[in-house]
Amino acid sequence: MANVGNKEQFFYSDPRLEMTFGERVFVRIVVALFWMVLTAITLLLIFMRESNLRFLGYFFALFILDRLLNLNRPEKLFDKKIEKKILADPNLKLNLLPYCEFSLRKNIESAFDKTILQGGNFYLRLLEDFLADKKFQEIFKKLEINPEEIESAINDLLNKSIQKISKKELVKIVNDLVVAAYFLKDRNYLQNKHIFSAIFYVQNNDIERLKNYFQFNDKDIQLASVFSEFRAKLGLIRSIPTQRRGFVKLFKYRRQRIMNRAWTARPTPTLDNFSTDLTNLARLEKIGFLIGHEQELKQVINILSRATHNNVLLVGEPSSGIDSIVRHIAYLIIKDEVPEELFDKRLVMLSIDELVSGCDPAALSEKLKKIVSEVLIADNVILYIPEIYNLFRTSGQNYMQAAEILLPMLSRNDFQVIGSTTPNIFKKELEPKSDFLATFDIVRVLEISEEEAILFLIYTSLILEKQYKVSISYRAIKNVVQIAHRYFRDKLLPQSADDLLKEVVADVRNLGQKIVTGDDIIRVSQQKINIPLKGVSKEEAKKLLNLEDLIHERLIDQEEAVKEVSKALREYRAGLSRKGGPIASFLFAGPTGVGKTELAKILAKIQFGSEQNMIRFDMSQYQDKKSIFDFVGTPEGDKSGALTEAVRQKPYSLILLDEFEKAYPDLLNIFLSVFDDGRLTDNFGRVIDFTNTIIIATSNAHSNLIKQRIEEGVSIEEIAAEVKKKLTEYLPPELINRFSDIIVFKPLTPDDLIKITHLLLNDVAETLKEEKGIELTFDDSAVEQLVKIGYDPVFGARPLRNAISDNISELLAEKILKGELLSGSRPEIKYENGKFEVVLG
Amino acid sequence: MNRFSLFYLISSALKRIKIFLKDWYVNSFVAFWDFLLKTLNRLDKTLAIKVTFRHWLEPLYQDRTIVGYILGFIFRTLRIAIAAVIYLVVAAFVFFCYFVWAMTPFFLLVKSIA
Repeated sequence: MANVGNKEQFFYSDPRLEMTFGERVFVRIVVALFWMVLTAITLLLIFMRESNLRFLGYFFALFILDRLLNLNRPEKLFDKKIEKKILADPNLKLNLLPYCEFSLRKNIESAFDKTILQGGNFYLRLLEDFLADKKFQEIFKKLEINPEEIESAINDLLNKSIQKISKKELVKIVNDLVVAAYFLKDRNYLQNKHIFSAIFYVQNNDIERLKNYFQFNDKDIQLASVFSEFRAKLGLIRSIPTQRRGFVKLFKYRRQRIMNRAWTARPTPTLDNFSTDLTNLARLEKIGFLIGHEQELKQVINILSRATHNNVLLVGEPSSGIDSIVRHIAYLIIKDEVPEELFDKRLVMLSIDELVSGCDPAALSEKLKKIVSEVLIADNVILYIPEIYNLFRTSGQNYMQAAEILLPMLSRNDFQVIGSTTPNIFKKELEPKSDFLATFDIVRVLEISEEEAILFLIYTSLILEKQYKVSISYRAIKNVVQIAHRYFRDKLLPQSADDLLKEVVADVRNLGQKIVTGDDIIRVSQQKINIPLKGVSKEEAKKLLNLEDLIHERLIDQEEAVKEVSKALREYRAGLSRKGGPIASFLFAGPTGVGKTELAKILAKIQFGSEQNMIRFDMSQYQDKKSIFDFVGTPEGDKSGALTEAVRQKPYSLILLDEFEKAYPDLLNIFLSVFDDGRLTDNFGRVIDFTNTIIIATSNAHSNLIKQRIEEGVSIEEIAAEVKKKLTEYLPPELINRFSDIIVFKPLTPDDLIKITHLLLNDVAETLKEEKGIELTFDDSAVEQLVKIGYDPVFGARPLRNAISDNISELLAEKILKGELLSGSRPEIKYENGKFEVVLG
Repeated sequence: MNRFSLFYLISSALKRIKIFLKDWYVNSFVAFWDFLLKTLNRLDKTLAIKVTFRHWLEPLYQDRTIVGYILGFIFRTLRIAIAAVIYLVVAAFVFFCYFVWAMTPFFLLVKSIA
């Protein structure tokens, strides 16, 4: 039921709230006495000997019975008529009182009295009352909040503020709350749970403090309330099923039928051998469960209901839910909840693989002709052909036969078909076949939303709770959906979240725990992807606060660059970075070999757990117009984009774009939307998410200028500003302005080079110690000589690594193989007589 | 106590009587009606009067010979007739129950006076 109207059209006016406290008590006593007296009189009359008085007693009994049966029922219910009225008349003022269940009115009255008498926050008083009810305690438990803790927090807040407010103000507060609850209702009347949820939607400082302290939001309360209510109801009505399909509503009538109800169809024995009758499975309650995809479902049913051009091609990723949509249509057909045109039809899934396997072309042709003839005569069959592109596969001669026979029929609209395919294959193989595509209407099946996935997982969790004898919190479900959506992109929602939840539940059970919490989801996910997911721990906070030192363990100098990058990372981990774009996007400008790539690698390791999570592109290889297609994929779909595919596979990664300014100008423009919204659409129409990436573009442009200005003693900030201006020669200004920061790297000083050489040599020494137990040291002469060999004015410190490998590693390898260096030895490397030497200590 | 609370009590008592009458006659009629529709819908899954009516003049099981047409007409007419009788009986029964329900308070009141 839609909650139509705007808040000005509603109010809550209860005459009892207009009375004084004394009057309210008086009214309560009189009403209670009335019912007690009436009940007593009724009983008395029923047991009278006088028959007419007995009948009067029975009449009163009916009156009392009606009251008892409808004790909590509201006086009125929202229906289509009142909805129309609300929509038609914007000036309508509707009192919500008669639409509230009786206990809700009582709860409001009770909290109202307490606030009048004792002062304090009305919302907290009401919340305090709600918390006495197990049903509402359960909601907090699902949010991993101890009801006692929140109760004590409410008491603390109430004790701090016992300020009394006027009755007029209080009546307004009640009014606002009930009106807010109207817009949250999911029934045709207002219940306590709607008021409970509304408390967290209204603006109030004390409620905000509670939300912040216990870390939940208004939406969480609403969904957790659905979760606990659903669980309670299901547990009460019938046992929880062991599979999702078990949630499909039970039919009382389950008669199996071969023929249709109109007695117009014919049996299809050949087709039945190679197909599955989905309507039959739906009748047996084996299929039909569907969450989300409402838009796609509506579209498919509309197309199928047309008189002509009524074939559908569903295009979606393998885990997008195509099968569930088709199966749900079968379920709707069985329930007669489809348009007249689909009434009494059979939805049959044809397996092309089964059809073509193990028979020669002649037999296949015969079988196909028979099937087609059966379908045409029966006249009530809708064929569902999953992976319809198999009709075109030419790997086997039999597939060709299937296509040749079936395609002309499809083109002539002789019978109805639902086909399915993936976006990739659709683009590559089906789009060029315009004749074939012309017979279909395309419906793209997209991933369901996080909110829908949460609802889906609520069902799954009930099954898992039953199977594994554990309790799953709402926070666990919320986390599993969010984490799966961000980091486990191999499959789409809800499948990715479903798989992860099952894994975590199994893990928790092995640990002997009874509750699956949000933290369990984070723990297992972190183990799987090796990326910090949780809010910053103490240890990590320390690490983040000393990030500069940590980076300097691997990077020499470049103070400003390290400072800026550390700042961005700290802001991100503290949750202060800009929402919508990537975590950060930097342009590193400076000469070659000064540490730009090294800093990117260090960042990848710190933020994403490993250097493997750095995606590197040499942009000088993307210099012509076609490069755009290399990056985001070809429009024909024969090639996926290098960038989009890489980020799709690793959405949590660092993207390094080397020599950014050398790329084709139009290619650079695609980064405008990436930097702005953190999104990019690939050639298959998929939206690729960049919001969990750090993007680093590097540029050598104006390196000489940087060098010159450094020598002139100009500050690095001033150089950065000048370089930014000058970069407009290569990059569009709107792109430059979209970078989080432009960081200038200084050329290396001789001192820096010595430090870098030490760093690299320490790596060699450490490896040797770990692998062979040899403790290697270096003499200054060796370090100085390596700097001489390894430094190149053009390539900076880049050749250093090679110099060490050629001169030191090779020498050591030789000595080890000759047996001159043994475990426990402590050699020193010196540069003497024009060569490097190993001296044993 | 002031007049406001007394007025409230009197109006509440009157409202309670109004609600009783609405519950007993209007709301219970809706409930009986819903029950009737649900029952007919369930019956229609077997008797299929709506679908049969739509295909009344079509041949039986796609047998497009004269025999198919004649048999189709005969069987469907029989089915419609039987279904119509069953639906009528069910509807009559439900309406009778409602009538008894609706008359009960009257009956009790009349008996108590008589």
